[in-house]
Amino acid sequence: MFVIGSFVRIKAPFDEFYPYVLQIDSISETGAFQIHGVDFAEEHLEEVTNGDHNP
Amino acid sequence: MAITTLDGAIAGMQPPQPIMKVGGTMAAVGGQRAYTPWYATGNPGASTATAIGVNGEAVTPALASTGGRIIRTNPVSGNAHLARLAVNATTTGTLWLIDRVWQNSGLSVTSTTAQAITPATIPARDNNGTTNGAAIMAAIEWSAAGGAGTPTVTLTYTDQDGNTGATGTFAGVASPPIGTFEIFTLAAGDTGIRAPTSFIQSATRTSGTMHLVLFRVLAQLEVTSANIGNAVDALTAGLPRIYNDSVLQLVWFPTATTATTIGGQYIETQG
Repeated sequence: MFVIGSFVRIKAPFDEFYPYVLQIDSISETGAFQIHGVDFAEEHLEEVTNGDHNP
Repeated sequence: MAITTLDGAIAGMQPPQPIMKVGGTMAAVGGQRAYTPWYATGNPGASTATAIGVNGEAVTPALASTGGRIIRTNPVSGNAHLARLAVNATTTGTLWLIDRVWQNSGLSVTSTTAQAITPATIPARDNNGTTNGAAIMAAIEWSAAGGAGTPTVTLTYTDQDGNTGATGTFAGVASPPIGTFEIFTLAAGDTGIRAPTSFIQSATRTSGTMHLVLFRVLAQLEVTSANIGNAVDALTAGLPRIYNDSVLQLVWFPTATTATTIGGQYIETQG
């Protein structure tokens, strides 16, 4: 489970449009993780551990 | 015989068709986001949402779901072209006249996994009068208001040249009212969609009813002042061809979320 501030990569097919390591900004009222105003369900995110921030 | 002169365009004028669609609203003004009065009351009256299913259907005037189309008839012989589109609106914005070529129903608004589409073939109404998909665009259209959620939405499709696996996207708006029309980008180098093959959302949109719609833009008209009309004609619109069985629909790009009533007139020339 991610929390606000977690560093994540976004999985395919959405990685084409978000090819970077990003940080979760908030959790929406639907329970989705928000990054730059866009909602992502947990299954579309992959946690990036410390030291792995550069793809 | 094709229309090749201004005299020919004048000689082929058909009776004007009035347009008056009432009270469209938007959740928020944004890029790739518009509103269609397809389900709004007025003249023509409201359309009913299709129930064809995810694999969709080619749209023709024979479908019961197209009652909100701007009325026209196919030419007895020769071709049909836009002769005049006049519009006034109670707010400022930009209007597209489109040919609705394909539609579906049954997409899940809550699913975050890929929803496969084995599409019915589009009709021969792309920019070249074929089924290849030249200049065919795609949008998600809401026939019942949507709920919370601002996912990225991705469409996988076969492009105008037959290349498979291309993707387009848009960022969904929260709580889209009925008529919200969210338009997909195309992949780099693409100029049209031949066949949609898969649909996926990055998160739920909670509730509502949405449809994937494929369309071709016929004309664009700017309304720069509220309640003051503007028009394009056969020359200023570029004499776009209206193929047989086209289903004409308006798409409005507003400058504010204010409820907007759109009036106008559609005239076609045939010959």
